[in-house]
This record gives sequence, C-alpha cells and structure tokens, in this order.
Amino acid sequence: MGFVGNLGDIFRILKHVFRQVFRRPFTYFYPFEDRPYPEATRGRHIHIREKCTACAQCVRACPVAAIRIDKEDKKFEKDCALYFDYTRCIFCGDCVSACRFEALFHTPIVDISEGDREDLVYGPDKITTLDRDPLEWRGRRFR
Amino acid sequence: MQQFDFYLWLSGLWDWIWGVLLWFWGILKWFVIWILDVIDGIWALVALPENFMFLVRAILMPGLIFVLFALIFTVWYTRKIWARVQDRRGPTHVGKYGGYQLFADAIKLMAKETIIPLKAKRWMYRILPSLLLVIVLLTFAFIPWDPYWNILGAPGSAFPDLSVSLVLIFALLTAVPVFSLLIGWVSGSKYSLIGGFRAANNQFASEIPMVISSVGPAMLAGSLSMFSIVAAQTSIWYVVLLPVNFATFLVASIASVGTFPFDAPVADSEIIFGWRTELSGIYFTVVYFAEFAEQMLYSALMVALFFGGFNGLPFLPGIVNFLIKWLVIYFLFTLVTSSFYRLRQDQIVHLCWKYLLPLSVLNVVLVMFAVVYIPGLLPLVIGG
Repeated sequence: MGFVGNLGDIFRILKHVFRQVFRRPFTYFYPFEDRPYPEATRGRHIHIREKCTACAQCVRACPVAAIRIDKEDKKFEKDCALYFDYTRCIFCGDCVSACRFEALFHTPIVDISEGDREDLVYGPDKITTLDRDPLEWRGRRFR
Repeated sequence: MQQFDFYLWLSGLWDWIWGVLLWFWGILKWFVIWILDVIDGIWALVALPENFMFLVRAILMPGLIFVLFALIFTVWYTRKIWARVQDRRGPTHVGKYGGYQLFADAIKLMAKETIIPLKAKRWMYRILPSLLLVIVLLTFAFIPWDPYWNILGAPGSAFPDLSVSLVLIFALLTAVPVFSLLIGWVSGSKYSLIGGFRAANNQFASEIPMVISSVGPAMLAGSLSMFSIVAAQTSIWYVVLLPVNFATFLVASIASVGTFPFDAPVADSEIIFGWRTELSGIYFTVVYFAEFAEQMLYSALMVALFFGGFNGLPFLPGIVNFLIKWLVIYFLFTLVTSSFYRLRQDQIVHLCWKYLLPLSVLNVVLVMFAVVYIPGLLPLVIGG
C-alpha cells in the first residue's frame, strides 16, 4: 500500500462518484410521483356500498372509535354510509377483517394529509371512491 | 457727537442680510458648478471609445454582471451535482429544474433578521463580509476570458494586461483567510475564532503548493501574465506536460477554498459553522457567495493555466471555449469536493507539505529536462 495504494483508492472513489452522477436519482419526486406500495399496505379505506349490509361490525371492531355509521343514508337495498375519521384511525385493519361481506378494504394510498382537520373525516362521498383531483405540475398530470 | 442711530443701523441690517444670502447663494452656485464640471469631466473620459468599451467590458460582459450571473448559475450547478452524487434530485420546484431556487434562498436570507452578537466588534462585523466578497470578485478582472473581449489586456485598449497578473491574483487571494480570521475574531465567539484560525491554517498549508504548481505554466510560457500564459498554449495545453501540477493545483485550491475534504474551518459537526457561526442574514449570504466565487475563480485559473484558456475549437469564440472548459473543470472540482471525508488540521498540512509540494516541484523539474533534451518541444511549449 502506502502512497501508490492510497492514490489508487482515491481514483477508485472518484470513478465511482463520477458514475454516480449520471445515474437516476434514488429519490421519488414525491407529491407528484409516488413509490409503488405493496398490495397489502394498510392505507386509507374504500367502502363498497353495493355489498354492505349495515351490520356495523366494523364500528364494533374499531378500537379507537374512528368509524361512525349512518344507517338512514341508504343508496342500495340495505347499505349504510360510513364516516371514517382519519384523525383517529390507527390503520390496525380490524374493521377490514371484521367485515364478512367484502365491503371494506384497505387501499395502498397513504398520503391523506389535508389542510383542515374536518377534511380528514372521510364521508360517504370520499370513502366509496378512489378518485381525486390529479396533481398538475408544469403541464404534466400525475396520478 | 453723533449718537448711535438705532434706526439707521436697523435699515442697514437688510443690506447685511441680503449680502449674507448672496454669499450663501454664491457658495451653492460654486458647488453646483463644481459638481457639474466633475460630471462633465467624467463624461468626457467615458465618452472616449476605448474607455467606454472598457466600462462595458468591466461592468457587463466579462465583468461584474457576467460574474454575478455565473455565480448564480454556479450555485445551482453545485447543488445539482451534489444532489446527483448523493442520489438525490436537488432543487426542482422553483423555476425550471430549480433554476430560481437561489433567488428564493437569497430573498429568504436577506429578509432574515441580522443578529449582531453582543461581544462582536460591530463596525468590523458589518464591513468584513462585504470586503471578502469584493476582494474575491476583484480577482476576476485578471482572468483572460477571450483573446480580445476581456477586462484587462485587450489589444489596443487603454488598459493593458498586467505583466504580473498571476502573482497579483495570488496576492489578492491571500487576503481571503485573513478576512476569515478577522471575521472569526470580531464575531466574539469561540467557535468562530477556532474556525478563523483553522482557515488561516488551511491557507498556510495550501498556498505554497498552489503557487509552486502555478510556477510550471508560468515557467513554460516564460511570463507571469495570465494573458501571455494562455496565449502560449496554442500548440499544446500545459495539462499534457504538467498533469501532476494540475492535480496538485486542484487539491491545493480546494484546500484554500475550504470546501469539503478540507472543510475544517467550517466543520459543522465539530465547531458549529466555523468562522461563519455568528453571521446571519445578508452577511451569511455575502460570505456564501464569496465561497462560490472563490471556487469559480480557482476553476477559471485552472482553465487558464493548464487547459489553454480561450484556445480550443477554432470555430467558436474564445469566451465560449473558455466557458465550456470552465464548466468541465468546475464539474471536476465539485466531484472531488463531494467525494471525500473531512481531514484533520495536521493531516491537511501533512498532505499539502509532504505530498503536494514535492510532487509539484518534481513535475516542474521533469518538464525542464524534457524541454531541454527533447528536440522540437520548446517551440510547441512557447506557443510557436
């Protein structure tokens, strides 16, 4: 080793760094570009009202009382409206496993931050669908 | 005997007041005429074609405005390269590819409160950061950007190139660690004082190898003028003959700037931010710009001394050649600064004095022998 060996190390480091510069960045372009989450991610819920029977087992199972049920709001024969309070939800998945009619699922969407606390209570209009306004940035539409 | 006639005296008072007013008016008129004469004289000087073009060159194109725009670009460029080395994206949101990020940062920094510590010496503390920037920007006057279109040394202009501009650049840049030490001293904080002494130590270590490395090109060109050194590299760039000198100059200049492998003066994990600890707001902005200006300056010096300056592709203007090489050398500079970990104080001195200094001398001596014993090399070296 000694001087020549150190010099070789220095040039190896420089070569590596030089290659690194022209590689694609490892980070995602976050609010516009999201990383792919696995299917089993416990993100926000989706409520499928066609299959719901208003049995309220999800409300019983919720350990933090984040779900409110409104049995009067019927769209189909025997469904109900669910209000998810994401200021309380701990994403434990008990409500999903309590649902025996395959009407409640987690989605892999985890970025649910809002400007107001009230917006984090997902009413029947938001919890039944995955649609949202696409983000736009310099003419490109993301998600 | 005539008594003192009060009313007569009173009537004379108006004359007296009128005289005083005329006297003041005379002073005012004289002052205004003097100012106008001075302005006339300046205009008469400026309106001379060579003086006017000198002003245009000194202020607009290779001068102040150009250097400031290059500075803005350089900050963005550095941040992008650093980000790419670290697998990040760098600034993206403000402007196209984050190009306006610096403006956002500068506005933010200028809007911040300027806190002057209680123990600081206020007058010095206020004036030193700007002096640092001024002295770094001053050295850009001696960079030969173009065969014609540079600040000093355009053929036929009233301001010829200095025959010792290389020495003068080093003389001006020696003041930079003095300012660092002074800022560290007048800040009245132990961290800034330690940082100031470390900056002085960096310069102490790096200056001799840097000057000795630049002796090689100066000796081959037979001149200490930057313009002549560049003009002598028409046939062969000196990096071909002096590659070791280029490497030692690069390392020594990084040590002199005090960026990453040699960032002991501003080591954030040891002494909070070194000699810049107490600087805030606009003072920090100015010092930040001065650091980048110094990096730009050393890259430009390397281009001029080793990479042939404005010599290059013949169909391009000289300044474009210079700028292309400048970007490449700056990229190399940033690559080296972003690759290595911090050295200790004694390690910096050890490296600079025990390795860089003998290597640069060795290369100069080897080239001397080559010029003497290889026939046909001498006319190539002095530019044919």
